Amino acid sequence: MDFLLLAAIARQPLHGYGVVEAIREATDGELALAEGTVYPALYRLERAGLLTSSWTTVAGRRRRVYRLTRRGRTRLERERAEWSAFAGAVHAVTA
Amino acid sequence: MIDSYLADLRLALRSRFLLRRRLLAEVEDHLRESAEELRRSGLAADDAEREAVARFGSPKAIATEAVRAAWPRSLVPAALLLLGSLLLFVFPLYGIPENTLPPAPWDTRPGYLTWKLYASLAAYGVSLGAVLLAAGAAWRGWARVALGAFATSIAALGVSAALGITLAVQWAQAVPGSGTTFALVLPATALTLILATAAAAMAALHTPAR
Repeated sequence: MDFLLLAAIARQPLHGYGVVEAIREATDGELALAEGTVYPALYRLERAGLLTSSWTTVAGRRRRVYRLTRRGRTRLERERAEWSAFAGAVHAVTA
Repeated sequence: MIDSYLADLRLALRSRFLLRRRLLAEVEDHLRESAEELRRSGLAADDAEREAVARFGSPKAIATEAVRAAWPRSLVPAALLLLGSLLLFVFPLYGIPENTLPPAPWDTRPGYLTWKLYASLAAYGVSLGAVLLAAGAAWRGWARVALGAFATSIAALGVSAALGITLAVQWAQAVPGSGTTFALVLPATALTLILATAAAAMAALHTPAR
């Protein structure tokens, strides 16, 4: 899940609902996250220094927007490389 | 429906006031936006809210996960409150040296007062160092170090206060005219201990259950 969140936020800064929607749209609804679990995961990633966040106000509602940090981008690149290697290995066996 | 969900979430986070404020604002924004999207897709208002809430998950489970995710940084306010109580305690400790009190009837301070003074100061130093370590460790996310240092700081403050109060009472008995100064020392020490107890309670409330 952390990998998905980092990848979604890497495209553009997003709030929690935006993250859920971005993943749902990118996967044509194949990956529908349990929405409430996104927030504890975002807090954990922020605490780990992979994300940063700030408040904005939209339509009179406070909204927390998350951005990737430099450390988050490095982690995302590493996770991408590991995932590609893993997916390639599985494909080599199952194709 | 959304209001009722938020009330349940607020109740589940009742003792986590810092986390509660942030999470409630984020969840409300999420649920209202989700319900608006569902209404645009054709659902009736009540059904849209019901569906948005159902997709979000149990408030108790979300609260539990959020508390775990926010830990141990949520210990930082408790550490800062404890630090504040320690700085207040500087007053009674500085109240003890002879230059702030009436002339003492001795050339060399009696041993039974001297060891208590230095032991109290040493315990105070340990407590101060430990609380700074606790705050730093909590901020960095080192949960076990933060909790251990916090507990050490509380224990050392208790030792320092116990020795300090004993010292104050014995000094007041030994040095005529010093009672007025110590009349200020004791309430300040009591306030320190009350604040330290509040800090400990705050830390306990913010520590997730195992």
